[in-house]
Amino acid sequence: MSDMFSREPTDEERAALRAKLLAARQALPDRLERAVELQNVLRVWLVSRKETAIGGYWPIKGEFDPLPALYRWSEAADERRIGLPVADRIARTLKFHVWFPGCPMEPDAYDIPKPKDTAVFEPQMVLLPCIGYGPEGVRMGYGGGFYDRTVAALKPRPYVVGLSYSNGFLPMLRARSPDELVLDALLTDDGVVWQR
Amino acid sequence: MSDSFANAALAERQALRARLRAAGQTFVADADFASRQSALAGHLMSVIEQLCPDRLGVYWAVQSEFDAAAWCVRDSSLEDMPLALPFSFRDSVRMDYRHWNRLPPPLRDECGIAACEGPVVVPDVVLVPCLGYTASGLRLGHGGGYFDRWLAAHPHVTAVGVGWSVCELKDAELRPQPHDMAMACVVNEHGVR
Repeated sequence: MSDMFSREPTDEERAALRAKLLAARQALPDRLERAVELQNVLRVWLVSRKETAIGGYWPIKGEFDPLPALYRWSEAADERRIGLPVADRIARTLKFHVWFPGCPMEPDAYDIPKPKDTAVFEPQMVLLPCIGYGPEGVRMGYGGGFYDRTVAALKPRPYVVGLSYSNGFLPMLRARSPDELVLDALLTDDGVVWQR
Repeated sequence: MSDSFANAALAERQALRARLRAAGQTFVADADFASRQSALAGHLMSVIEQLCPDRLGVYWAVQSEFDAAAWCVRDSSLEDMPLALPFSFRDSVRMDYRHWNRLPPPLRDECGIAACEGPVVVPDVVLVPCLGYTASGLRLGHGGGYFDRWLAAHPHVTAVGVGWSVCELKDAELRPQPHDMAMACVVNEHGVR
């Protein structure tokens, strides 16, 4: 295990690491306090952003819930819109649908709740959950590549912001290919830990 | 040698302050000032709303500063917001926030700025007047170091800078010092920087 932190992990090690980080996140004894901290960090950080359309996500598996801060942000100006990703199982990409509190939801192709019959929009900023993160915006996701393909297809490329609890830091994690999605900013319960 | 460098840097800062004070005074004297003032107030209230503080630290304006205390008291969306005003001590340079009951301040602090008597409190969001500022959130104050010290002692507090557009500086002009910490954002009459 200690070896994994002194060099780049192999695919098998990545899978093991992912499982371990997921379990650790769900077992975090202070997840609630961390969530409150990260909610504050996100709320403050969003104030000075100029984007008007942000794609968030519906939290699963102990992920941080960005929707309270996001909704608060969206209330401040009429033109601001927020939404949630809906997975396309065939193209293996995401489309963003407008969301609001109380919005009718239905399960998507992966059983994650998605907004029912709301407008599709192209986000200028995408908030995405990270299982782990390395230096300089390198991200460990679930390994499906959904966000990599989605962000690559959006023109102009949206500003990509990772959200993670600070225990997900992996000092030796590196991008595996030049095409891999690298974050423009990373926010944790400790604050803005990376911004391009 | 290093002393003369330090003195030159200090003199440069003082010259910058004088220039910014003059710019602020010209700005305030302009015929459009009323509309610029209400524009800044509108942007500031929107920012406060997004931050939803538990307690807001405001300040009593001096010279050409935006009158944050008056606008916050007047704004109906902040009706239930607990407020606090700074109180500065000159002897051992430090500053506290005191609960403010929104009545005209009955006393003056040791710097001669209107202040109140309430108990010492720690707001979670504070408005900070900026003589000068950069888009990155660095601030130039009047040189007393009161806000710098208080913010350094309360790193979890969200600082929102308030200043006029004519007081915006480039990083190279401000020449940040090692103790300068960026504020969360700065609001001027055009919006959030």
